[in-house]
Amino acid sequence: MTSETRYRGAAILALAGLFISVYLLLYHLGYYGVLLCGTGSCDVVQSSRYADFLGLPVPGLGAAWYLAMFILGLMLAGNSLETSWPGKLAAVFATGGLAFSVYLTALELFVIHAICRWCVVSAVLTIGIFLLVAPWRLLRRSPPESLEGFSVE
Amino acid sequence: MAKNRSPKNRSGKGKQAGSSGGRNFYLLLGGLAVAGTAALLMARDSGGDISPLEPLSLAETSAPASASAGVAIGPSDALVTIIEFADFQCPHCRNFNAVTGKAIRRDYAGPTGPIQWINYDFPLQQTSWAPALAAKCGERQGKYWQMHDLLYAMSDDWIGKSNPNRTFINLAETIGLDEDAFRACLDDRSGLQDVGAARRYGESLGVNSTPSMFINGRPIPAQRQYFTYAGLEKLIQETIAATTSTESD
Repeated sequence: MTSETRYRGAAILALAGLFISVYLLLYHLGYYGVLLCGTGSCDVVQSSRYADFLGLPVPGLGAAWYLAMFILGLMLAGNSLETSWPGKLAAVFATGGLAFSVYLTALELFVIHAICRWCVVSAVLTIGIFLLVAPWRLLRRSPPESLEGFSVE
Repeated sequence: MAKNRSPKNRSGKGKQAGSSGGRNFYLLLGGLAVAGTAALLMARDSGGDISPLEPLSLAETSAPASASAGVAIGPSDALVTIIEFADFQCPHCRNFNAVTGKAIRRDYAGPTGPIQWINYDFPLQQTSWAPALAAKCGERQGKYWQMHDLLYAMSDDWIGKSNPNRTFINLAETIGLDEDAFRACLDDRSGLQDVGAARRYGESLGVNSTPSMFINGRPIPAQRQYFTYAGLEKLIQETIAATTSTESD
């Protein structure tokens, strides 16, 4: 898969995630009275004390993250910038996003004991974005500078 | 790597394929954006909204001070009347309610008990008006005290929230309140006039902190001993004894 295809895929997933986050944020702020959730326990999760992180609504943080990944995905899909700052930033964001998603999923499973279907979709999108951005590729491409010129006699 | 930079890959055919892929990509993005926006708009129409209560100040209510703005439990002709001014966001009020207030009301403010306990909302912070309104909405369905105790017990779940009304509705459901009526009450906001009247009544009595309490009209000193179960119980019994002896004289 070319890097262009990977970043285009990441941008598409990020846009989908952005809409989900905006939906949950509008619910969190009270603009929607009912959360369409099917059989999940979205209401329990979204109204729990963990729906805010450091005073900020988690869906708002999610929307900001998806927006950043969408913009970076578009930038990287059109140019060979993978090893420049947008590529590195995308790799850091993708890794951070995955870690935060794992934290939120663990909260749902082990602390809140409720699962929000939208959060599961968001977690899947985050994993997809992480796999498409593939931060480990950057590690392979740029060996530590300290090793440059080093030779074994 | 070198292969990717070969002239073959830079041929017109490759560019055509690339621009076609690019067009498809932007079409897909555009379609997704339209579908997502439409879904958000449709979701807006499918359910009623829950507006957050903006932070308020006393100046935004017009009701004058009123002793009848409190909520009472216990007989109206009780020997002892305790009145409390409290703020749902105040941690001392929460602790006092959990350790002492709730138990004293249970043991002494029953239908034939010796005390009547009257609670007045005294919101000290602008964001304290929202839980006070939620408690008033509980009162309108005859469950003020259940809502009162639950708001304190679950305060970690709503303090600091951008829209605590969402949590209040969930709490209302857990004590069996009619959700539609509760929502309508939150939207209506007329209960805030009672909260303003209670706060002004407290100010007329010199209250400036919470919890502030009075027993038969006398302020209870803000000393730790009176805020424990044993301390308040002793004060109640002393007041009962004094009232009984005055009546027998």
